[in-house]
Amino acid sequence: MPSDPDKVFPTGLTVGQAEELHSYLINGTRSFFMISALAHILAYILTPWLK
Amino acid sequence: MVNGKMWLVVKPTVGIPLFFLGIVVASLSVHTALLLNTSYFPAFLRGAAPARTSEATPPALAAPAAVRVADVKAKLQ
Amino acid sequence: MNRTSQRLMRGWLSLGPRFLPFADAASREVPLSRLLRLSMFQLSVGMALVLLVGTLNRVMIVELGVPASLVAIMLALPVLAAPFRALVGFRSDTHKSLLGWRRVPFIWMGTMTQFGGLAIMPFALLVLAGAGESGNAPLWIGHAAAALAFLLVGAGLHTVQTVGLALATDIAPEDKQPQVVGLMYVMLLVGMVGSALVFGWLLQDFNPGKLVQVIQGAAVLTIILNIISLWQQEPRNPDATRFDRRIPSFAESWNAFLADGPALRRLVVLGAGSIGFAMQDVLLEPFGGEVLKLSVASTTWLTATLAFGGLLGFATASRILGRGGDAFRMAAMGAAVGIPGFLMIAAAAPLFAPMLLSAGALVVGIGGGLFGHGTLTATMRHAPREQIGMALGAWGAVQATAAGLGMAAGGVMRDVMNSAAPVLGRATGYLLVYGIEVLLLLATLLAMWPLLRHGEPPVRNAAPAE
Repeated sequence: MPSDPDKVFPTGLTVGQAEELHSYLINGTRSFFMISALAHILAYILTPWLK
Repeated sequence: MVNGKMWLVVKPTVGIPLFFLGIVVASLSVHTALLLNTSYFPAFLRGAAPARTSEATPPALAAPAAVRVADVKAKLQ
Repeated sequence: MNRTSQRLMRGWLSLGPRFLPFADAASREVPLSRLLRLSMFQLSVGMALVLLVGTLNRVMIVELGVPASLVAIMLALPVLAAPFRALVGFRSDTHKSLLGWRRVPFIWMGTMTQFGGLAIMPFALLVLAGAGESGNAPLWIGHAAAALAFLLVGAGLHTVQTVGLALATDIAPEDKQPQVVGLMYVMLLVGMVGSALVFGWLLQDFNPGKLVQVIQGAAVLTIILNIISLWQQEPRNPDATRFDRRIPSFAESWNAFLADGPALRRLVVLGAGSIGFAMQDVLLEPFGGEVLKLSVASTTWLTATLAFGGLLGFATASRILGRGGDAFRMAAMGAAVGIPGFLMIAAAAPLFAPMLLSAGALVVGIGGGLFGHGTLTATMRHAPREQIGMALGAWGAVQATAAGLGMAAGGVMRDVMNSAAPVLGRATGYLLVYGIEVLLLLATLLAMWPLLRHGEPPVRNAAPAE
């Protein structure tokens, strides 16, 4: 790994910027999965897959 | 973040839409499979409720669930 | 291809000012298409508002049989999130980012929050109503899930709107701000009216499966609209979001904001005026139906008239302010126009004149449009460069809280008055509310007076106001 934090890579981002972008993306994805888990729990309470 | 460095080689303008698309396709395909291969899922969407408590969902009402714009214009901001 | 689209764009721009009141919100740096695209977040905000205040309100009470008091508590939750808009705006102003983004992360998380609330909403409501097997589950699950859903939607839409308006202020050149405000308001109105019609149509024959589909469809649409709206909008400016800059505390920043001239007075005026215009909103249709015996079709027409008046107000304000008019004078004019409007509505009862009622609704709509546009434009114009988010957050916090409280207060006052002392029959409660609104607007005008006299210096290249 390069040690220079200001090196700009082909995509136009530095290492720190890439990590930051990734953190937004992963946080959003995590909340998406948490929400969907909650929605599935509620759906199961409502209709236990219509047994 | 573990894979954060991938944005050094993948352009975000390409990679992010692909990432979203992946999640969308994964979620939709599971639900579509359920819709096609089970009987309860389509039944639920068509308005079925478990037999035991079907009175909990009243029959379609005569009046449409129309929304009064006034209720809403109030929150205009 | 590129040449044609450029020519098309230029054609649009030259056509725009003549045919679309808001099309001249474009400038060389930020083309029309981009501002239009940015304003799409207002569509999703409008959709969420319609769901909260209109559709779900009705669905919970009529179709799901949830007790009205519980519904009222649930619907109040999003309003509780409104005061935090100032804080959200502040956090966005002071965000630390290597990428140089301070709006995108907030709109993104706000979008996910709103999406999350909408995604669990239908199941939460069905469990709350004890539908299906959920009667076997402990009662608190339904309550907690529904409360969480409403809070998430409220927090999400307030975040998206606050930071979205801040982003619009960031990227729109100052002389185009009035048109941007007009565009934002029109998109909000389109989002609300459009989704109200679509939800009403889709939920005509109600069943739980349909409720899930419709609300989750709205959730997905929220993400799609907001991503389209946000995509490549915010210019990256790592200098403005450096990690080593001094970050003031919220209290510090807030005090500095209030110390800047008559900021507090502006907020008080905004609150009083917003309550004044909001109290009648849920009463207009029942007033027409109960007191003037109008049919459902006619009262719906009343609401359409009110909305049309709002559009006229936005268009007028965009035009005049775009030529350099004083935004606070515009807001004052809105309040001044509203007073005769409310008097006309009130007078329609003793005179039994439905035409007068429609005219009054139109006038009130215009007044509300001018007032909202004027205050938002003024907020944008006065926002200190480093406090744009907080300034717009403060505007939104006061406006949304006042509107929520006003709406609730209007309904409660009518009911209490009509059951306690119906001296003038069923009209009593309504007349009380309209009277209070006139008084509130008068108070707004009085409080505004100092703002107008030593008001801001005329904006550059100002044509004589009006």
